Amino acid sequence: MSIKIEKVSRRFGSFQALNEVDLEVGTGELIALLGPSGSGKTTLLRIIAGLDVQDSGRVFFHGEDTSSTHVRDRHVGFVFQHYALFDHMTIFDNVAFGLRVRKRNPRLSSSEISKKVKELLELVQLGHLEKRYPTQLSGGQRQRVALARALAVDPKVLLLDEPFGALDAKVRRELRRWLRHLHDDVKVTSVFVTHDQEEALEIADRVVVMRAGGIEQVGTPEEVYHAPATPFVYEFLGDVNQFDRDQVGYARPHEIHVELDATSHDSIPAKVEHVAARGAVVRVELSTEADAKLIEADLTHQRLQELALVKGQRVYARPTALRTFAAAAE
Amino acid sequence: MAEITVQPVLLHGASKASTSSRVRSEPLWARVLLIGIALAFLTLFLFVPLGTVFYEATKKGFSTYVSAVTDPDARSAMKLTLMAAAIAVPLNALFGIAAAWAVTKFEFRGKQLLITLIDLPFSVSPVISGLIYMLLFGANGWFGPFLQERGIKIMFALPGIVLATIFVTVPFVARELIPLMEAQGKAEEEAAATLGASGLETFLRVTLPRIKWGVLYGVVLCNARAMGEFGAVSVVSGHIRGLTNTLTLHVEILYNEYQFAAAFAVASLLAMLALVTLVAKSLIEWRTSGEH
Repeated sequence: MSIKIEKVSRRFGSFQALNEVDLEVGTGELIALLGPSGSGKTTLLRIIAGLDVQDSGRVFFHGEDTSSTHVRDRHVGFVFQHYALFDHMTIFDNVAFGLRVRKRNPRLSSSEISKKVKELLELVQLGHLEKRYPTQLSGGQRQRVALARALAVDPKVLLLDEPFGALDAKVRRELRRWLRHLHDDVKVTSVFVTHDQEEALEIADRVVVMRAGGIEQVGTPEEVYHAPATPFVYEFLGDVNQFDRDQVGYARPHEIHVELDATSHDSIPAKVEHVAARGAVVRVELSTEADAKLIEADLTHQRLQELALVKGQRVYARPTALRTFAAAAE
Repeated sequence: MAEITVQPVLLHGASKASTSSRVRSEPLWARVLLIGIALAFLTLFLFVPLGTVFYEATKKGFSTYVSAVTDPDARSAMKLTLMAAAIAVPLNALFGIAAAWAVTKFEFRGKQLLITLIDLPFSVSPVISGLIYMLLFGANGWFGPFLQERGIKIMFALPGIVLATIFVTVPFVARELIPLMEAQGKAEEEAAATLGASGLETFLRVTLPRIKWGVLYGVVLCNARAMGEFGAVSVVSGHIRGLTNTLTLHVEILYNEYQFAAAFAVASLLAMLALVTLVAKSLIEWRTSGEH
């Protein structure tokens, strides 16, 4: 099931949440809507679901205009940030809910429902918890129940609103990987909203970077990370150093070469402010001698040993790659 | 608690033993004073009057009490009070749920106005609200001649009493549910909709189970007010003994006729209804706090 969004706009009072947004999602794709809060990503997701209505523009599911289709007839699976499980029902009844209320398909018999619910709970690895209530489960387990519940009705499209936003970092990483695998198995067209660039880059087929109600760039994780279309995308997708020359140039911390002697006219004299050996790489904070601007550089542990950096030492920072944008862009 | 009692002069704060408890709470004298004031107030305005009701009611002997309570007029007043409550409370429960649902799940123009209107009966004197019905449906009221021609009796009859009772108890259920449903948000309802549930299915299977204790709590309060209402009902009832007298009105009549023991006996019935209501309310509170 493909999704096409055509010139969709939405206002809330004086706030323009979406401004003529166009987007196409291919069948079976996993798409991330990435952006800071207020960029319109959740509004767009809710409009696709039919939980919110656009002021103008149209949404097509597989070429069919859904603008006048009620949310319950759109066959979307929606996963909420705070799970939105039915707390007064058991896990089993939560997952069975959609199967029991569906009218148009010939209604399933209770043994068929039971079989399907058990399959889904196995899929999300929670088969042993079917008699529990949501409040007895951890956040990660609840979100998996929510996912099983959404998948129960065989949705044409799976929509996830910050699905891991309420979970702690470790569970979030696990669930993220798990969602990617699930998507590879189930192959349902999926759109998820996130403000976490790592999450978007790690699991999405394509990333849609949003800003102030519009789309800045659409591309594969490699494209948006390595070839950002605008300074905003560049800054949003990771740490960045900014250099003012004739034009504004940008370089990521791993693209900064730290040396003890100036090797080219690009080398910038700077002072070591802080060295943090924080895992696979070493993050070094420098401040330029000219105007005390912060430069962040990532070094290997080996390189750090070669340089034997100490706080306050004078070094040179040389960007090995510098990306420039037209000056008017920002 | 023991370490606090050895501390007559807390202001100088020399004791180490009570430091931790003093950091966390007010000094002893303040606590004693506050609790004392609250208790004295409650005793003066609640326990003493309540005790008086039962004392006065049974002062002239148990048989007087029984005969006052089983008097035909008292029984018909009891019946009328229960009937008015039995009609008004379910209607207001329905209205309250509908209003809270509308206010919390939908955006529409005039929402603030609706919320204000729901509160109106709290701010209008009950006597005034009774008078309004009188001006509308009374013999000389706007609809008076129209109703008279068709032989429909609203004032000085059950319909008028029910109308007045409904008016003064409108806010109870809605006021109880609006904050509750606002706090619950609408994500669950939205989830139900995406799963294909109709509006009615969503209400019955998702919303109602989540608000049922709130509804019950509102109904209990609404019922207490409905049975205890005096002002509005007094205006529209006409005080016809055995016909349009509710319990509260019956108490007034007995009192005015210097039948104090009988008046207090009937009043004790109302007091007992109130106590039953209180117990029901506490049970619901206990039940809901256990749930979460």
